[in-house]
Amino acid sequence: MNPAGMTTYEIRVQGYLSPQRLRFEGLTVSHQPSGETVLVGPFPDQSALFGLLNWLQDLGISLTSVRRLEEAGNCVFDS
Amino acid sequence: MDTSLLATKLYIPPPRPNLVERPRLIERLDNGLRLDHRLTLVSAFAGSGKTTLLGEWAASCDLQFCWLSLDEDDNDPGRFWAYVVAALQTIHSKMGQSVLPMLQGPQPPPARSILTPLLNEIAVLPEPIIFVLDDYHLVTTEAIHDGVAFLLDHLPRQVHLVIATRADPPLPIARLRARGQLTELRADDMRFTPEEVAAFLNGVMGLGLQPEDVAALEARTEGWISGLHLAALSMQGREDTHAFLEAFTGSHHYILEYLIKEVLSRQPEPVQRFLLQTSILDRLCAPLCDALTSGRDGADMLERLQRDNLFVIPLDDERRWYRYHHLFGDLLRKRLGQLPPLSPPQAEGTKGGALEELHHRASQWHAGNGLLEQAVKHARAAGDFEQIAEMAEQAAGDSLLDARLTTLLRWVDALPQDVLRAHPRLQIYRAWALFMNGHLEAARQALGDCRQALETLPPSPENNALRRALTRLLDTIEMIARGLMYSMDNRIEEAIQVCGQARDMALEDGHVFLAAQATEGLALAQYHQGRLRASAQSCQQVIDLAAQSVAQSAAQAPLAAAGYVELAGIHIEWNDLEKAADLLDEALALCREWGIVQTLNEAYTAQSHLLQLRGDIEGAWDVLEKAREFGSMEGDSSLVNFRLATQQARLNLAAGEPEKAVRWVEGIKAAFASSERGQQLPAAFVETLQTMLARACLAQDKAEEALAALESLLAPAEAAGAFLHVIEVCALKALALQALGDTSAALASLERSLALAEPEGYMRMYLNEGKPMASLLRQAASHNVYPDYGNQLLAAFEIKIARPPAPPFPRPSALLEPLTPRELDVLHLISQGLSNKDIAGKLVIALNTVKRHTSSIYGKLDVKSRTQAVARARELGLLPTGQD
Repeated sequence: MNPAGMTTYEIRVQGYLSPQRLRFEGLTVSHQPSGETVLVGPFPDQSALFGLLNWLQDLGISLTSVRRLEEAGNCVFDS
Repeated sequence: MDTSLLATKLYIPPPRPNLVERPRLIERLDNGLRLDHRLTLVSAFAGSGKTTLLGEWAASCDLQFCWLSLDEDDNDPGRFWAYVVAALQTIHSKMGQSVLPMLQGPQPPPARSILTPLLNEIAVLPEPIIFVLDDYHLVTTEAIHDGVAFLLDHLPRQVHLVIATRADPPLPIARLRARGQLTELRADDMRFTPEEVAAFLNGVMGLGLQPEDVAALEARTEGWISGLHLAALSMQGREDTHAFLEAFTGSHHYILEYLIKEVLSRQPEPVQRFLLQTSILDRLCAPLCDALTSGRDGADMLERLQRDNLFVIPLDDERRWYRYHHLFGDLLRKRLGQLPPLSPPQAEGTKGGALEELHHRASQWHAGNGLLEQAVKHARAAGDFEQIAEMAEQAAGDSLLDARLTTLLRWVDALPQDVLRAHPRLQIYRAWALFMNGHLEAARQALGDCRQALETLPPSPENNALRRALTRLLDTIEMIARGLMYSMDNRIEEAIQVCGQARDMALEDGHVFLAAQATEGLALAQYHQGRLRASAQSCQQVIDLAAQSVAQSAAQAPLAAAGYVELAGIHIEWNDLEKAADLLDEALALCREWGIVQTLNEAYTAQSHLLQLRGDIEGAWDVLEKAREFGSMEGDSSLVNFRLATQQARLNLAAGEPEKAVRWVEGIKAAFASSERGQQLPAAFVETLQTMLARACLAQDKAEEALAALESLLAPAEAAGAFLHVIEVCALKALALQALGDTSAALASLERSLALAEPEGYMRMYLNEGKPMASLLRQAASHNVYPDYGNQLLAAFEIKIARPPAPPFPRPSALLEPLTPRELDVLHLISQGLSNKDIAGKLVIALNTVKRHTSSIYGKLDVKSRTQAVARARELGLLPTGQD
């Protein structure tokens, strides 16, 4: 695995997901006034990303969007 | 799980013949071991070759491997950990024996109660081992993730955990990665390098391709092993591989679908049909396949598929069971769904389409071979609910109350209402399971539904007989449920009547287990009635009845264990602490052997009380913690957790912290007041709360408030005949009145208490109240109020708590009636500290026989407990002194 090869993804879900509940580390959790929770963090590859997405699905949490942001080191956030 | 299939889950996949060896990956895996990484994670999408690689590693590695292939059905924590233990047992057959029983009960305990003892066993393994969890992505239960995370945190160095999965599991992976404790192989790592692609296509598959063709395939598949495999299968034996390559590499279709179609279409028609029909199976064996296809070539087919490397994987060395490679199986099933109905020859009278017919046949075969779990699974897919109901009824049979019934009931829960209604026996089982698991309200409702169902049964001689039998059964169960409720509500007379009736009915009908349950209710009611001796007798009856049950299933043990715990409580009240300790030991042994989690809580709580009375306060707190671990599953309002909290309040008082006890009382009241059920606190709970409050007030010198707390309790208790409460309340009132200086009123109150308590031998009721009670008793004796009883109690006050106040035994120089040789054997084993159960095992006799012997021994030695028996025997020279 290429250690530098992490890709940053932004995952938006509906509802309030508390940071304590999150079983995946290294993610920033923010809560939007819209009622969404936004998770942002680096993932080594798709399997890692799907790990998170599957877990969200198992909890019955609704996905709003999944976005790929710039490569790690150049994180660009849309406001 | 059915044991024949269990082995297939634990089977370590042997390395495939004609593998492309992947030394660089093996090296990375070995390196992870060398660096003592906690976790090796192989996370890559389906068909990347994870299992094959790990199988290759297992063959080349010197260390021993445990393997567990996971299924979606393994999402039950009890099963999951049972399989983990089973996998460990392939290396060390005794490992995890102590935790297995806990996993078989209806409610498995929290993960750490299972894992801590297991980890302790693993920590003393002589050689390191590797444990593989394959297909972990199929696990979706939070409780299991919790457990595995706990495992990772506490893993001893002897175990290297390997997880193979399609996507990263919800475990602290990032943390391990950051700390350098993780070895991971990801999709990029699993891809074949160009060299490996060439070795595979030309070497293993023998295609003899030109370098540029190899490169084209490598580019198209991106080194994805399954894609290459399928492509190679499509090209084998083709004249014009180049044409295929052009079509393939130029195609926009998703690789998989395209290739599957290719591979399938190139198989002879019988093979195609076989593949598609058997794709519905999780596991294949020749006879099962034949049942699905109505053919006889199952064995040949499977052998051929394996030989041709057509994605069939053996699950045991005998080559009896196979499964399809997951990806291949998925695609076959999808294809099966897309095609027009592929009827097996002579399909007749199928309900749904051909797919349902296939599941139906699979279900029949599994049922016929005793593999019920799978039978139910396929029956569900076939929509064969009637079949499921019948299988459930047959499996439950007449043994109403096997702990394993809860598995069956999972199936029952999935049945549609109309099917359930047509099977009243199943409804009763369901109601009973709810009752046994403490969901009284739901159980009562379910019982009501049962009655309705019984009524709607169409009349017929068979149905009428069934209706009669089941109605009686229903009545018995309902009475038992009511009896428990009445006891809690201080409706003692009614409780006794209803429980007695239920017991008689149950005994008449031969439902020994129900009779034991009814007797337990009776014991509880008698206890509240202040009749300790009758209650003790009932407890003993419960134990005897439970032991009697011929079925010897796990259902009896919880009742016997509960019986021992209740009986121990009574002996504590009689201040016979030795006997109480013996009884609790029996209870705990039963709990441990049969995995009875709910009674462990009560047993430990009682043990905490016992230790407290012996002055071992620290020990009492420790044991209470243990009790707490097992009590966390039910709500605060359940009887079991209530007792635990009561014991805690007692310890608080003993520690001189009455405020804590007060806070607890207020807390419970508040919790109940705000509970959505809007239920009233049962009268028995109220009594406990108020008397605890009164004691706390007395400890804080607030005698007025103590009296106030006790105020409303006396009259209802007298009226209901709940004399236990009368004894307690009058005793506490007496103390409060004395503190306020009103000695005559105090003595009057105490007299009432003693009058009821004396015939039943209450001791700790007064001993527990300490010096103030002692002084009050002295005054009572001097006023000639129950002087004999009072003096007996006072004598007990004088003796230190550590030893029971047993009367001195007579000391003849020899026994009037000597012990028989067998009794001497038993006595020897007792002196070595063996429990009755162990003695039974050692001498190969029945437990009841051991008890008869010990009874006789006690009688002949004129003692009341094991310790006394050993001491006496040594005195008489029957046992060498100093032997332990």
